[in-house]
Amino acid sequence: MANNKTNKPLTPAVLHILLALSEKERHGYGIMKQVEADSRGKVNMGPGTLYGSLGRMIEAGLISENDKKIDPDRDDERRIYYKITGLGQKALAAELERYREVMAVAKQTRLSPRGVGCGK
Amino acid sequence: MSAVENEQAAARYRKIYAILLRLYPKPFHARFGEGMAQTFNDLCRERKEAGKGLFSFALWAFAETAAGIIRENLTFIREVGMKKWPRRIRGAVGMGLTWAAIWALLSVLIGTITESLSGYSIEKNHLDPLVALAMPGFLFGVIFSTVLWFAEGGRRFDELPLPRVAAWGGVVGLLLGALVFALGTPIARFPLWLVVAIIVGSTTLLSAVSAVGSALLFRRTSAKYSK
Repeated sequence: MANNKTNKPLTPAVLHILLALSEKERHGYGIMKQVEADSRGKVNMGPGTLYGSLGRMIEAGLISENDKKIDPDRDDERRIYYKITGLGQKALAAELERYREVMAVAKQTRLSPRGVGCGK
Repeated sequence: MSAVENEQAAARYRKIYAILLRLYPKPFHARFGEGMAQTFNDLCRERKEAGKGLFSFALWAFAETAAGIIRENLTFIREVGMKKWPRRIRGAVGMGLTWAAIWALLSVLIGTITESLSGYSIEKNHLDPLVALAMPGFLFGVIFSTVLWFAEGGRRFDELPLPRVAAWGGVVGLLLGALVFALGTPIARFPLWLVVAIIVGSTTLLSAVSAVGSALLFRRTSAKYSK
């Protein structure tokens, strides 16, 4: 789980949820669909993983709950929307920076995705 | 599968999913249960609109949610449950002592009545009447407190209706009485059914009465301290 106080890396689920919420607030199903789109269908998060992560992220102060409202795209019942907090944005930025550093190291050692196995 | 059949299957899966969600810890269910049910409905609708069957999706969602239920319950026990253990232990010991007191009084009463009617003294022949039933009373009380905690999901003792408390007390008495009987040696002088009825019947009745008595005592004490 994300623990920005100790700058531990975020779990893939938390990273994807933060990415999905970085653009705008979303409800549970909206987050799920955005994660699926962002990962080009590679990450298929179920309700159990999603809401478990949301609970821990709220506790850690990375996201917060907004009031219930109706999704204009789905004229049905009211839903709780989740939004990223300032702390969540910082954690996301720190994680992306960490990824950039890792990529830089990989490039230096010619281990970037394109270069894997072609380092000689 | 036709659209009608698909709709019926979706309704059935939604019901099962709602039942499954109740297995989450109470605070988690209260906070996310509705959202999870909505998300499950949305996913069902998405599959239906795409003309896909629901069976494999439902299986996947149930399995994935079941894993979440285990994870959240373990977290709940670790984070919340452990903090409450000292209070629970104190509560169980308190309940045991209350039951021990009730049973000890009854023991003295039985001893006095038996001695005055038949001249048979329990004290001279066996045990101090104060201790004879006090020890099993303590044990029954502690077990009752534990059973109540598991069965009622941590609800406060004074919030439970008295008939319910009596019923749980009776259940504990019945089971423990049956256990006492099973572990003991049958008295050949009396028919088996009579021995069973006396042992199990008395423990059931005594436990139900003790449960109600301790609940009334608890209510009185909490009312006094909340003033």
